[in-house]
Amino acid sequence: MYTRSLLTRQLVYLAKKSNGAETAGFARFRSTASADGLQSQATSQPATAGGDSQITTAKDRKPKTNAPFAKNLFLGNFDKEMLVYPEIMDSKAIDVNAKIPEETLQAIKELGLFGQQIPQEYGGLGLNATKYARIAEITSQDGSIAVTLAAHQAIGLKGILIAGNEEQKQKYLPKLAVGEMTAAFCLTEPGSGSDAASIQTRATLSEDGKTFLLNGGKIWISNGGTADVFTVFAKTEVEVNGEKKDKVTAFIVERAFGGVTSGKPEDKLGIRGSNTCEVHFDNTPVPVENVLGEVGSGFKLAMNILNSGRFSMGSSGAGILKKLIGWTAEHATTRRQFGKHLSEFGLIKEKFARMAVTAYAMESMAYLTAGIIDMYEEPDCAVEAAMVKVFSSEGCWTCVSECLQILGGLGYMKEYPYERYLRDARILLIFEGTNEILRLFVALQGLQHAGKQLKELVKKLRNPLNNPGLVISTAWSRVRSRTSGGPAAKLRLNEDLHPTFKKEAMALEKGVGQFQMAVESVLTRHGNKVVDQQMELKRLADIVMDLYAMTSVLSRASRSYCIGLRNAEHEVMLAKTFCYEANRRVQTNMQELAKGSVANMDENYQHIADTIFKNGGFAAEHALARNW
Amino acid sequence: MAAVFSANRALHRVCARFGLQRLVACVNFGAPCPSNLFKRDIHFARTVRGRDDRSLETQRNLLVKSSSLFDELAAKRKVDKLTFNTALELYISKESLYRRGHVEFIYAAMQNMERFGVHRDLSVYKALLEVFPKGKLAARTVWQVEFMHFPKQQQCAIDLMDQMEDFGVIPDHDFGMRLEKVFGTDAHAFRKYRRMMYWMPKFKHANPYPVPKELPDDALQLALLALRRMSVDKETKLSVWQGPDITSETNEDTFIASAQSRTQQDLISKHDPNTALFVEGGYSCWLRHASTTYFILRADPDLAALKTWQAAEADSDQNLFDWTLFWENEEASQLVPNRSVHEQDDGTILGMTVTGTSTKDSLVTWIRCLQQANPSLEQIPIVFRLRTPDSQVQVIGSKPNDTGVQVANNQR
Repeated sequence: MYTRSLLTRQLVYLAKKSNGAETAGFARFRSTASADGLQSQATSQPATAGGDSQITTAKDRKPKTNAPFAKNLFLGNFDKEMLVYPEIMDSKAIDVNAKIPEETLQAIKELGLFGQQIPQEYGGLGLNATKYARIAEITSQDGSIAVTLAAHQAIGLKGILIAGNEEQKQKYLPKLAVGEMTAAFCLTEPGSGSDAASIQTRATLSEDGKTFLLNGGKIWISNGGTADVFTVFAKTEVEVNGEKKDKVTAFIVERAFGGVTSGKPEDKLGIRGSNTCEVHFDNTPVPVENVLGEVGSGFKLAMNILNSGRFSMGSSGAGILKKLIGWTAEHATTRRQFGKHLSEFGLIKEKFARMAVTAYAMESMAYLTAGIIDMYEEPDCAVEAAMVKVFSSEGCWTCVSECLQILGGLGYMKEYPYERYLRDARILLIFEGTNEILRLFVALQGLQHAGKQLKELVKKLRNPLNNPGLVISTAWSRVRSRTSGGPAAKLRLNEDLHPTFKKEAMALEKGVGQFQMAVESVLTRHGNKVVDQQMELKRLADIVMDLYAMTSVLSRASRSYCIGLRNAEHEVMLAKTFCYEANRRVQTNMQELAKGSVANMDENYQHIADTIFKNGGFAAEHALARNW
Repeated sequence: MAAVFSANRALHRVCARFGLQRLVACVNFGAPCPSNLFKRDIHFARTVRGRDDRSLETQRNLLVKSSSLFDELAAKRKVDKLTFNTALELYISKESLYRRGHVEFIYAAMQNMERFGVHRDLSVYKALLEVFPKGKLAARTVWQVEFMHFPKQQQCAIDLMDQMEDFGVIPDHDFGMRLEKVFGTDAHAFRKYRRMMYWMPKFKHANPYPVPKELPDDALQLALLALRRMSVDKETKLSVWQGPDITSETNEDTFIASAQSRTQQDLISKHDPNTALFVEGGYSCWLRHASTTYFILRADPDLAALKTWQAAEADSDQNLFDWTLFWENEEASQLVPNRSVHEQDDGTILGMTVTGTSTKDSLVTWIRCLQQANPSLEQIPIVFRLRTPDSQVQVIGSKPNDTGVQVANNQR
């Protein structure tokens, strides 16, 4: 009965949509093949006045953009549509993809994996985000291949896809799709890693205005030694309101233009199969036609490119974890110590359970985000993608480490692949935006969004002497909600999930309400200076990450249980376990935020770090030091 | 009775500490205080009570004899620790039985320690403790403890420990053992030792900017030490130019030590070539007893930038949440002014120097040397505003000064 009501609700949305009515929500259930029986129901709905309404596919008439879910969490607005897990477009294609085995680079090229996201008219596979994520699960079996592919298509040629004009697409995409040319993304320089605005590479326009001369050097470029097409970011002089300024511009640079030299491959800890090297440009002539987008719009393009490739780390991490859990489980069930199999010991069981829960959450988050990306023309989910990346990279690192731990000494040996996976997994926390930067990004984006609405309220709260009534009433309502065990549950999330998740839905709801109060208090406490309070921003980012993970996990588990997938009860248990742990983390972070920077040790951290810098190292005297 | 005794003891101790034995006598006998009471007698615990002129003379003679021993040894041999220890051994071997005049000897030794350069040496202080006769001075009853058994000797030990404290020498367990053997654990002297052991280690590392005890004699090393102390920026690089004929005009044989950091170099490169820079100076920096004269290169404060910093630092809620965050901010952050420690309200410090001769020529040479790292200095006009360290100080005396202007004076 519950299932029917859920489906009916989806169909109502669908009908409203095909009616042409602009709704804030979106239809999730849009499969043609598996919904035959329901199609007639759709037409018989009284809401559809249009008679024979075609069920639209995602290709045509995609809505422009979505209401940003994570950013609205900062305001305490929970979009219940998120609790409806997206249905995959074409399940038959998924089966086919899952059978792709591991092969060498040539075989991969022949498969067309070098052009996964390139539209079919240019010779690529034309996959959408979800399918791309699904394939990433498989290509992640080998870290080096995954990184080579990602450097080529997720960032290397994404610029041409996003901002290239027709000529550029026609010229480059066909060759890139079949792997005849490889692409690379050149942004990082010795003096500018996270701070992308401070690059020094310059592109000066020639006298006749037809060529740019590129001068500078980039470091740590994946595929730098083998690539033929580079997306290079350089500073150009641009006139803005009559004033000359240096702005970043993106160029498509071919190695064939001349003046492009690459250094020797860097010796890395992990992903050693991926070619990473320095790339130098010495008066490289770049024709004006090769400017991507507008001159001076390179910075935004770089941010867009980087934001768009992040979410697939969730599915690739989950893919490799699932495989590793399988191998490790086999080991645990065969190895005997103290007269028992390892799998019978509590500590081992706990490790496996934690890994399974983390992998489940990673996967759920990744595909939920991929689903949103596929739904809209210009999806607003940079924050969600960042959260997926942070959660997945850290989860992957800890879980691979645990797998190695379970194997004990065997895991440490080079004969077994675990140490290689561990080394490969370490880079996940660093590239594609370091986790620290992404946490700040998540927190500040959300605060900016919330701040726009809360501006007036916060101004008044920060001026207590002029607004005593408001301050007192806000404080009173906060005290009341704290004593009554959290803010009143108004969202009724449990109605959108299977009844078995009532407790978790309540926890999620309370979490969202508390988060909104925490955001208000943080903004009130610091005002404009909140940008510098990085330790508080980190806590906010962790909270919203856990809330998003809880949402995706509950939504997926509820769907699985409702439609009766195999091992659905196991999924329910995974979901409940994850929600318990996530809720615990959320509550801890909230309490620390509420305590303030002295009681939660933030001030201590600052002082300790300052002393270390003043002392040039560890500042405490040796344990054996004497004073007289 | 007990209260009277303890008050008496406290007073006795205070007066003994300051050598005010005559005040003690007056207190005990109820005599009025003479005016010359508060002149401190030099290193002499002299109880007036019960002493006659002959014994006072004996004391004076013993002191002279002990001092003369040290003077002779200093004249005959090298003035170092070995000679000092020899002096102690000579005394002990001569007075092996009764240790006559040991208090006077110890006072004489204390006076000579700095001369022999052993004033900071703990082992020498321990050797001095060995001069006391053993087994005689320790108190055996409670009354003896209360009334400072052998006060002159205890006071001598206390003065010895005072000198240790003044020079910052922390005693150790071994010192305490020797002291205990001489005076016992209950003595006033031992209590002084215990107080030292409590407080001195706590204060040993209290100074966050310690000056080394042994300061170098070399002027260049002193200069580098002073510059390192004054440099707040951790990136500061110290450079030294040295040699004969280093200055262009007068050909002096001197050194030029300069301190400049990368931030200061960036500030110079951004400086407007039409505005002058000032070499100001003759400031002194003291390191214990040694002073060095330093000069700075200063620019006038940038008032426009000051106003923007003050506006930014002021807690303004006008543009709440109107941010451009780092992923939207296309301009590199180095253009966004972040006030460095060198940019102060009264000016921007761009470099510091200490020269051997502190003359204008050496400073001109300094600017030339700076031009190696700061090529833009060649275009900027430099103005020299030099003063000697004490030229600004006006001595206020009782007579009017030469200009005929009455200078106010406080001492009449």
